[in-house]
Amino acid sequence: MKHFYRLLYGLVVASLVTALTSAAFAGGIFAYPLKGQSQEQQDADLYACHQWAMAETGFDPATIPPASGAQGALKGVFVGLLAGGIVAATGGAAAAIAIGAGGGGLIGGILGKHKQAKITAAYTAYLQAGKTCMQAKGYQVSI
Amino acid sequence: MLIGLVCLAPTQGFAAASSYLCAISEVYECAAVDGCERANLKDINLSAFITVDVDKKQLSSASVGEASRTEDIEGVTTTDKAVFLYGTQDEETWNATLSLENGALSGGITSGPSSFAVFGNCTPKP
Repeated sequence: MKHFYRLLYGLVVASLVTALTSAAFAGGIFAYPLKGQSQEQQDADLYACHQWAMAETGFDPATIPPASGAQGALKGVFVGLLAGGIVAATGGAAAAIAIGAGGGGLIGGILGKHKQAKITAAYTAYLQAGKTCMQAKGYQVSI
Repeated sequence: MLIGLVCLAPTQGFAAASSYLCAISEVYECAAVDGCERANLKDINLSAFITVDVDKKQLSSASVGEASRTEDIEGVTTTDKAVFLYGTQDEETWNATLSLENGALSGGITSGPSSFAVFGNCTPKP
């Protein structure tokens, strides 16, 4: 029975994640707590992994230009998760990769195909790093 | 959108003004070898309506419901027939010509290996 509730909880979390990012990102990160981690622990782990993934890849999802059609498709799933709990650690300690996202200037924020590909590659690396981190912390993770 | 474009298409010339409201109607993204293809403004994160403030030397997005974004204009040259604008930002360089004879706007934005050709119409901002 306990296992059932954990599974149910995992599904609810997954639904929340999907709701936060679905319009945007067909996939996403789904993390199921294998060791019965509390909500607080999950939030803390997500925060730590978001920070670690940024440090490892040099990609900060906050560098994705605002008001972008591509923004939704690329915005960090970790940020989406954190938005529901811990304050998103965007623009934090990790040095943002020089993707030339331009910080959303009118011209500087323009997203050509090469820049979109660059952001997508950096974002994918960030997600992979996050997945590795969450797995190490005892979660079943899929992207 | 169409109504906006029609309203922004003057039938005759106008005098130089301190600011203009411009509607971007077409953008093409070009790359070496691949050539050019029409781009969706939303996909490339470019505003459909832009205010050109010549006095403040600033471009700003004027689309309703969109977060305001600005860009400094580095250079402005005004003649009796056109206003020429240019600027640089991060990886981008850009220039635009605003015709005072018919309000036509044409410009280019270079962003890394991509080059965007931009077309639209402007009218003096009241």
